[in-house]
Amino acid sequence: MTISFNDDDRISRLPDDILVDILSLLRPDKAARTSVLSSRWINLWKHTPSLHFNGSLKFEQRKCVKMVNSVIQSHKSPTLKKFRITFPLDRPDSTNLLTRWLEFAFFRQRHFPEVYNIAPRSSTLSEFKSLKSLSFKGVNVSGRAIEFLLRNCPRLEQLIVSHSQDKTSKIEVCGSSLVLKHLKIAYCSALESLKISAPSLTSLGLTSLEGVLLENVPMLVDVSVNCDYYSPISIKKLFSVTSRCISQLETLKLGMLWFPTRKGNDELGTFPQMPKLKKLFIEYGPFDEATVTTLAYFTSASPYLQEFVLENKYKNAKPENIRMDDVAASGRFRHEHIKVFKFRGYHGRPIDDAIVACVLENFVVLEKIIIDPSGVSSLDIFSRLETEKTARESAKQHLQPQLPHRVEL
Amino acid sequence: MAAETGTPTTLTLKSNDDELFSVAESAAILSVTIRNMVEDGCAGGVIPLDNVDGKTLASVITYMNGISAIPADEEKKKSYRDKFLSDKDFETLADMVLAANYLNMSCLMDAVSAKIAQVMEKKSVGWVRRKFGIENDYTPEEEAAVKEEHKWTFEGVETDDDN
Repeated sequence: MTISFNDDDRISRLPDDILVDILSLLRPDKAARTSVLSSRWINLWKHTPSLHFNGSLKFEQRKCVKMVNSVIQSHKSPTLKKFRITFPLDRPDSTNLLTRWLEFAFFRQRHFPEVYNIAPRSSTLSEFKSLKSLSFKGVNVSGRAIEFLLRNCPRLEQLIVSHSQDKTSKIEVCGSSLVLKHLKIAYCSALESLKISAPSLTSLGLTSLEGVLLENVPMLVDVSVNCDYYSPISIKKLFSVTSRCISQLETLKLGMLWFPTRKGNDELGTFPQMPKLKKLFIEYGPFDEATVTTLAYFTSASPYLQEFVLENKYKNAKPENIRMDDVAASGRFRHEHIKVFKFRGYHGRPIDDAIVACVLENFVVLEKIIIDPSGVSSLDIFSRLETEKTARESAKQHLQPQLPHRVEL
Repeated sequence: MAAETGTPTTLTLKSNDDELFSVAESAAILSVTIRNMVEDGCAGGVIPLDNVDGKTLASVITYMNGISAIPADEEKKKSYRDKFLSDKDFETLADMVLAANYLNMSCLMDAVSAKIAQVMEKKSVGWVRRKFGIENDYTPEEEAAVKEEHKWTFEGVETDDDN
């Protein structure tokens, strides 16, 4: 076989699939530009098996968005191996855009889109059908988009949505066939309601309990709720939201807990029992006399607790208001399983020592007590180091003599 | 294959303009096309490569010898490929991709394709047409229409320079 050719049709001798392979290495807009070369080229770029849109920070967002929209309008390849978007996306309609792009990618499915956008917000999405983990950080995803994803990613085990500002936010994570194990919905300030009904879910992380409805979560054992200082968790709310599953929990992590005053604590009535709880982390606001009561409530509600971490992030413990007698009076609770107690944010204040004393008195099988003075926000590193040093020394001074021999400090 | 005998077997390749090249079989079988011929027992005499001219074949053989001398180290192979292609002009690259396609040499094919794409990314339509030898078969009206439709692709920087 001999093919005669001349120098003028060099590239035209290449079969279409090779040209398409070359075009798929170009940024999609550059590939689309080759339409103008000649009639043969007009549709070649529309068949590239992968699309990678990348923009840099100097590249205008408006142009990037236009580029993606134009490309997906014309693109004809029935399958996509790769669909990747990497540029900053931060505009009012980004939710709609993302939903549209994801839908485009889903219908060309095979391998999947990676949506990632550079600072200040980012998210990654890869490998759909076999996708196991999906996270959106700072991408405005609507409830509709999430439901779409859940329907289309039958193997999804982990879903993280954080810092989404979507305005019409109602999220439903529901489905009897979901294999989802880990769910985290964090810092979505506009979220109005969140309904969860996932038979395989084992761990759940939230930063707000507003509008949260837990329906069918038989496997849930690990719950973490981390609120910020301005909207602390009300314990009452916590128990009403988790009423269906609290008795099955093994790990509970609570950030910025807010307890009503003592009187309020009494109003709380029956404190739900947590017979399976093994690990408890409580990050507390400023300590006061109710802190010990809280300790007492939690430990008596969870008889098989093994590890207890208490953290105080605030330096000022309102010491002037604390009546030590009250602390001692409320501090009568015996616990026969806690082996490890960790106290972060210890400052050597009377209240701190009172708490430790309570712990030593009541946790009768304690093997290890960890006093960690760090975790306190302070102006500069040097004064913090100094503070921590002082606190460590006072921890030794105050606590060593009281320690029973079996307890390791 | 030949390596078993201990003495390296040499193949003779013939370009479509009748130039003859000697090359070690171990290097030549990077081309799946050649390897198939060897396995089918057609390698006894001269292997005719009807779609590759002498100049391009010489280049491809340089590549075959160079890359097969490098032990299995993907980093080093990559840097050899980069260096090998760095001084090739666009015409040569176009010939190489055709040859690599015909000879079924995926590693060379991928490297040359990437290099071509890298060049195309920066150049104007006119430049690519000229260098690729693409005949513009649009009427002026058609061309204007296609350009209008793809106006959104013409926002970047492009150049007519040869470098």
